[in-house]
Amino acid sequence: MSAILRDMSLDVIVVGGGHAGIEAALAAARAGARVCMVTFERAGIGRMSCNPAIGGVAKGQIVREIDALGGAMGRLIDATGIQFRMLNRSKGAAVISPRAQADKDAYQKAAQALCEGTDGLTIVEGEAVELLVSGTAIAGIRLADGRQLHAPRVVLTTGTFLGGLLHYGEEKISGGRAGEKAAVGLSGQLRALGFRLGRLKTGTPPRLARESIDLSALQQQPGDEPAEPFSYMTGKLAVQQVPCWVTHTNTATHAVILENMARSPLYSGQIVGIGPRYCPSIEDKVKRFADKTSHHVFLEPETRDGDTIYPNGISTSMPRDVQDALVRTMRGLEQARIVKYGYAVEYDFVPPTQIDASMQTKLLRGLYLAGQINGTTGYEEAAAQGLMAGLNAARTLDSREPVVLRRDQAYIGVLIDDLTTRGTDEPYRMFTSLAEYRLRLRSDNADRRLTPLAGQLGIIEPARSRRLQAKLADYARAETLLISERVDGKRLFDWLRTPQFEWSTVLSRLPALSALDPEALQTLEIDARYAGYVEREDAEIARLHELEAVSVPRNLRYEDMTNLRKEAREKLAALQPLTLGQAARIPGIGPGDVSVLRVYLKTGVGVPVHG
Amino acid sequence: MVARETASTIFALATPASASAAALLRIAGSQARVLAQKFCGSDWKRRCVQGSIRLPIGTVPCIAWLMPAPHTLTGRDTLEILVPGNVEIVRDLERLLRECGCHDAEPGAFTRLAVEAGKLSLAQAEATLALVTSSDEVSRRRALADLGGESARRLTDLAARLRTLSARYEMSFDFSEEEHALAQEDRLSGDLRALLADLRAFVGREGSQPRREFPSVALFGPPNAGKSSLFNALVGQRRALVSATPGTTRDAIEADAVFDGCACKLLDLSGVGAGDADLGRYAPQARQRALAADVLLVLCAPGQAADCAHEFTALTRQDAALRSRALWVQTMSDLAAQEANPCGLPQYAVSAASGQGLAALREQLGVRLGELATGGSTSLLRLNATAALTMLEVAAADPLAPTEAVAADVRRALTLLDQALLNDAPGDVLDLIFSRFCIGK
Repeated sequence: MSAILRDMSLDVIVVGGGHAGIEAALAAARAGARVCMVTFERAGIGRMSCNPAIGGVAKGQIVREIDALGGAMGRLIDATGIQFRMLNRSKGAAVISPRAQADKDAYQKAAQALCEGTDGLTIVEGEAVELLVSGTAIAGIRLADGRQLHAPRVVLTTGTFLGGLLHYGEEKISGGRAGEKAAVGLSGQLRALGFRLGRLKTGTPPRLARESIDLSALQQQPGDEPAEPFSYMTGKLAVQQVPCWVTHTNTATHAVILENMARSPLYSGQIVGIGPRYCPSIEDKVKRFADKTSHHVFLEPETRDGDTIYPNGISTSMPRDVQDALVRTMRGLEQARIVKYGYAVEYDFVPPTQIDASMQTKLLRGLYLAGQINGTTGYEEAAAQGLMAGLNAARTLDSREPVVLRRDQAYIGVLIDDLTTRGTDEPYRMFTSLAEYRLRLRSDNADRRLTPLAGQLGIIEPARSRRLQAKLADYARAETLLISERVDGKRLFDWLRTPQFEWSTVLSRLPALSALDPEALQTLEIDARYAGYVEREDAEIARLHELEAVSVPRNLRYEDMTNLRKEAREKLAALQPLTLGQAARIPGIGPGDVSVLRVYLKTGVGVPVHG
Repeated sequence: MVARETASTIFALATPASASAAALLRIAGSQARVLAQKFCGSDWKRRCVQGSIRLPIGTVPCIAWLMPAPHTLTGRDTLEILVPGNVEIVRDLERLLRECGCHDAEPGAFTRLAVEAGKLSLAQAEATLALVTSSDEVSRRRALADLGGESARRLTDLAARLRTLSARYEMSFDFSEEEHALAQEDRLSGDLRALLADLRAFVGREGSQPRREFPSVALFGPPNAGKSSLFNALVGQRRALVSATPGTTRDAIEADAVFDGCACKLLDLSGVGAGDADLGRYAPQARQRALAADVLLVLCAPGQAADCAHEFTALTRQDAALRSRALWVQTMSDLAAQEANPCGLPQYAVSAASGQGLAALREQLGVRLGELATGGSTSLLRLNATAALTMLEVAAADPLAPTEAVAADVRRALTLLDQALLNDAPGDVLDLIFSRFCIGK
C-alpha cells in the first residue's frame, strides 16, 4: 500500500468519474464527508461517451433540479455550452425544457478541474476490482494493483463498464467504452453477494470528420438568442453560439442497412441485452418503422472548433464497412470520413428494486448504486442519482435521515421512486409523462421547489439561498402590484392568464415592475396560467403526503401478516418499502392491502421484527 | 374489512328464512370439504350426494353438492346443502356450522370473494346487487347488461380511446421534435370533443345519478283541473278521492306507477290558484312539490289556461329550468276543443273519462323517465364514468386551458375509468359497495 492511501481516512468512496460519479463525489463532499473518487484515468472524468449535449425534454428539468440542489451539471454546461435551445417553447411552461450542445473536451476539463478543486475530495486513478465487505456492511474496495481503500460508504457508478462488451458488427471486444477496458471483477462478486444482475445494451453513432462533410448543402439549426442558462447562478449567458445541421436518411440508406441486417449483432442474436426503446439504433428504426422512408439526422459539432461531428439519429453496431457505406448515402455526407466507428455496448446492471429510496442497497449496508448500474440511460438521470446517493451516503454517516424527494417535489423524486418501487427491465429515461404532477415540476421553479430544502441540509452556498430569496421577494412585489392595478375593471393579475396579455404593455403601465427580476415575473405568469389546474391535484397530493409520512420499519415479518393477501405479503417482503406511500405504489398492491398494512403499523400488533 | 381471513369459511342461507319445502345453505372455504365428508361420507366421486345431518332434534336428511376450487364463483371450495325448509332445522344447522368453525357471511361476502378471486368484475358484482334489488324493468334490463359485461365492454372501448388520446397528448410534449401529425394540437382537441360526445352518450344512456328513490311525476294545476281523474287513470286504480267539490285533494296523494318499464312516484298535488276552497292553505306545499318534481304535468281544464299559465310562470321565476321538466296537459279533451297553451310547453290533450290521448301521454312519460335513468344503483362504473365526463367537459370548455393542463385532466379521467374497470377502487369505496348487499349473498 502506498503511503498516501494509508494516510487517507475516508468516509465515502465513489467508484467512477462519469456524470453520476461527479455529482456523487461533489455532493458527499458538500455534505461534509471526506471523499475519494476512484477512476481509470483522471482525464476521463466527465466524458460524454455518447451525444455531446445536456438537457432535453424532461431531462432539462432534471438538470435544473440538480442545480437547485447545488449540483455541478448546470454550471458545467453553462461554462462549456456552444449552443443553447429551449425545447417545446410552443407548448406550455410545464413541458418547456432547456437543452445545450457542449464542447465535450471543455466539459471534461471543467469537470476535472471542479473535482480537483473541491475540498475534501481526492481522486485516485485505478480499477476497483473487489468490494471489501465486513459482515453485512461495506468496508471499502480493493484496486487491481492490490491497493485497498477503506471507508464505511461506497457509491458504485460503473456506467457501461460492468462486464462491458463492445460490438462492431461480428466483432466483439471487452470494454466499457471505445478504447477503454471494462470492469470485469465486480459483476461476479456482486452475484456472489446475492445481487441479481441483468444485461442492458446501448449504442452510439460513428463520429465524422467535419472537413469531409459538405455542410453548405444542409439546413442549419441555430441556437436561441439570447441563450438561456441552466444554472440559477449563472445570470446572463454571454456565449458565441455555433449552429448544428440537419440531414436525412433515405431509401438508399435503408437499403444498405437491410442488405446487411444479417451482419448486425442486434439481429444475429449476438446481443442479448435490452436496448433503449426511445433511442433506437438506425437498424431498429429501419426494421420497426418500415413504412418510413426517411429519418432526421442532426449533425452536432462535438467541440467549438468542430473537428468532429456527432450524427444524432444513426446509432449503430453495424460492421465498419457497412457504417462507411450507410453514412455516405446521405446528403452532405457523400464524402464523409468516419473518425471513430459506432458500436453497441452491453453491460451488467443491478435491477434497481434492490436499492431503497435513499439509493442504498438492501443487501449490503453502506453500498450505494447510481447511474446506469441502476438501469437508467442518460447523463442527466445518472447525475441526479449520483447527487442523491452521494448526499445520502454522507448524511447517514452520522445517522442523519436520508433525503428522499417526493414525486410531487421533483423529477428526481419520480425517477428514483420509479426505479426503486417499480424497477425497470429496459434502459430507463425520463419523460414529462412519467410525472403525475407535471404542472408543478417545471424548469422555471426548480429553485423554489428544492433550494430551500438544500439550504436546510446545508449543502449549498449561501449566495444560492440569497438569490432565491431575492427572486421570491420580487415575485411577491410583482404579485401585489398586479393585484392592486386594474384594467377595464379587471385586476391585471387576472389578465395574466389571458391570451391578450403582454408584459410590454404592463411594464409601460407599471414601470416599477421593470426593476424586478424577469425570472420572478415569468414564474408569476406561469403560476397564474396554471392557477386552478394545479389546485386540482391538491387532494391527491395531500393523500400522497399523508401516506409518505407513515414510515414502514425495515425487516417487517410480512410473512406473518396473515390478514394480508398472500401476493401482497410476497411483494412487500420482496421490495421492503420505506413508507406506506411507496408500498401503495408497488405494482400489484391494492388500496385494500394498504389499509391492512396501515392497521398493522398503527396498532403495532403483529409487527414482529426479525432478530 | 381489515380482518379478512383468507382461511376462514363463510356460510349463508340462500333461500328465504321462512317455512318452505326446502332450504339451501351455501358454504365457501376450506371447511367445505370437511363438512361434505361429515354429512355425506367419502363418496365424492359424484358431485351431488344424499346424506344426513345430526342435529339436536334428530337426524335430518340432506342433499349436498360439492364444487371444488378453483372453478367456483368464489374461487374456493363450495358446498351447497339442501335441507327441509323448517325454520328451527335451519337455525340448528347454522349453529352446527358455527361450531364447525364457519362464520356467518357478511352482506355481499360471496360476491366480494368472487371479485377478489377475479371471477367477477366489480361492475358485474354491482350488477348482481342492482338486479336483486331492482324493482322496475329498466333497472333490470340495465343490470342484466352489466352482468353480461356489456356496459363494461362499452366503457372499456371508451377507456381504450381515451388512453390512445392521452398517449398522443404525451407524445406532443415528449417527442415534439418528431412533429407527428397525430400529436397536432387541433387534431387532439377535435378528437377529445368526439370522445366526449360518446362518453356523454354512455353516461346519459346508462344513467349516472345515484338515486335513492324513484323519480317523481307531479300533477299540478288549479282546482278541478282534473288532476285526480288523470291520476287514477294513470295509476290504473282508484287511489285518489275524486270529487266534484273543488279542493278535495288536500295535500298530495302518492302512488307508484310504471311507464314503459320505468318506475316512478306519481304525485297528485293540491289545487292552486283561483277557486281554492281552502283559501290557499295547501298551495305553498303543492308549489314546493311541483318545483321538486322530476317531471311536472301542468293540468288545465277548458277555460283555465290563463290561471294555469299564471301559476306556472310564477314557478319558473323560482326555477327557470322547470320549463325543461314540464308538460302541458289539457284535460277533458272530450268536452272542449284544444286550446294553445300560453307557456309554449309540449302539449298533450287527454280525457280520463274516454281514455283519449292517454297512450301518448304514457309514452312521453316513459321517455322522460327513461332519460332520468334511475339505474337503481350507485355503480362505480357509472359514477366514475360521470366523474371522468365532468372532468373532461370542464377541461374542454375552458378556452384558456393550457394543453398540458387538459392533458393532465385526460390522464386523471383515464385513471377514473381504469379504477372502475380494473376493480382497482379504493378500499373504502369497495366497502361501501359491498355493504349495500343485504340479500342474494
